[in-house]
Amino acid sequence: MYPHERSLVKQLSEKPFALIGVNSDSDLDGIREIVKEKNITWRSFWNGPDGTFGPISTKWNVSGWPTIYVVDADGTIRYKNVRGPKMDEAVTTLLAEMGHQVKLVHEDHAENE
Amino acid sequence: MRHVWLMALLTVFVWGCGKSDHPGPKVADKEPGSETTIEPLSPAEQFEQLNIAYAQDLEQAENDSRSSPVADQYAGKFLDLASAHPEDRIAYASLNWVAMLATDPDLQNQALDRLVAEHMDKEALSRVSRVMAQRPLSDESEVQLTVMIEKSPHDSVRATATMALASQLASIPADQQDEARIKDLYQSVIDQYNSIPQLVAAANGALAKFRFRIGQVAPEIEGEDLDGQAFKLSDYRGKVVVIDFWGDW
Repeated sequence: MYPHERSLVKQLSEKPFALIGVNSDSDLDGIREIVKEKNITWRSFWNGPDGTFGPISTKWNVSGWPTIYVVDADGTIRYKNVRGPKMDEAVTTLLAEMGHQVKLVHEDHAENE
Repeated sequence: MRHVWLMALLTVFVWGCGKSDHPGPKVADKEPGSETTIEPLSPAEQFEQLNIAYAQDLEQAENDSRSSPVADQYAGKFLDLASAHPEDRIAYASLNWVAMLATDPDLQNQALDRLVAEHMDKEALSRVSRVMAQRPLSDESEVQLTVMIEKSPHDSVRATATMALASQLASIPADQQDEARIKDLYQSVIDQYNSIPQLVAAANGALAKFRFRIGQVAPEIEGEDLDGQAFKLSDYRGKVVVIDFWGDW
């Protein structure tokens, strides 16, 4: 999961794209360590000390983790719970709507990290 | 082997006792022309008897791990009982039994159609409509629930029927849904039945789900990042954004 997302963030760094996390770990210090350790390169909201019962996931009716939303440039929800190749497809489709043709290629590096 | 013999003996014994204790309808005299006195079972006793027979069959079916819908085999008898005694309180109980326990939609609808036609005064219909909320939408259920919403004198029945209709309408694939109608139904529960807080909460929860559907504008997220820096989702307007609710556990 992390390698795929990291690859996506890296390849689209010049495009109008962002990956935003909503982290639902209750231990803030612990998750800061993990971010360093696992090289999580994207920004996350913190869902607060109540973890999975925090305010953001509650407002968004999230009851399973991970939950993915893909939002277009106008802020409209366009895809839900797309992972791996499906996430790539969603993102490239939305970027193409904005005139950005991208081809995503992921190295097969998941095992190494 | 010994076990089998014991069982056989026991069966004969029980059967024998049954014969002496329950001779069935009493027949005083069998001579032709003479008066025959039979003590008929009251509607309540008939209901009770059917229910016991059903429970025994159900247990047997479970022991044999048969999956046949036992309730459907009794539904006809309960419907007949309701027809035979339309004025007795057992009529409602019998129709309710079929509406709740039958698995065949045709049987359910026979009971439900009669419940809404003949028993609209009953507050217990709220239990029926609560069960209906879990069932799929059909032309019949839409009519039955609409009649309850329009005709019931009880807040609890109208409110649960409104919730049930909304959740049935919301159970079909999203692209075929009449979203405005579903939202109106939930909203009407919120507006009209603040005496029933559980249902108002459920309606609010159901409405919230619509705000996070594909095609809706994503609601704002305001918060702090893991370093305590404040930021907002709308800071990223103009970009394609993947929002990932994650945790490392």
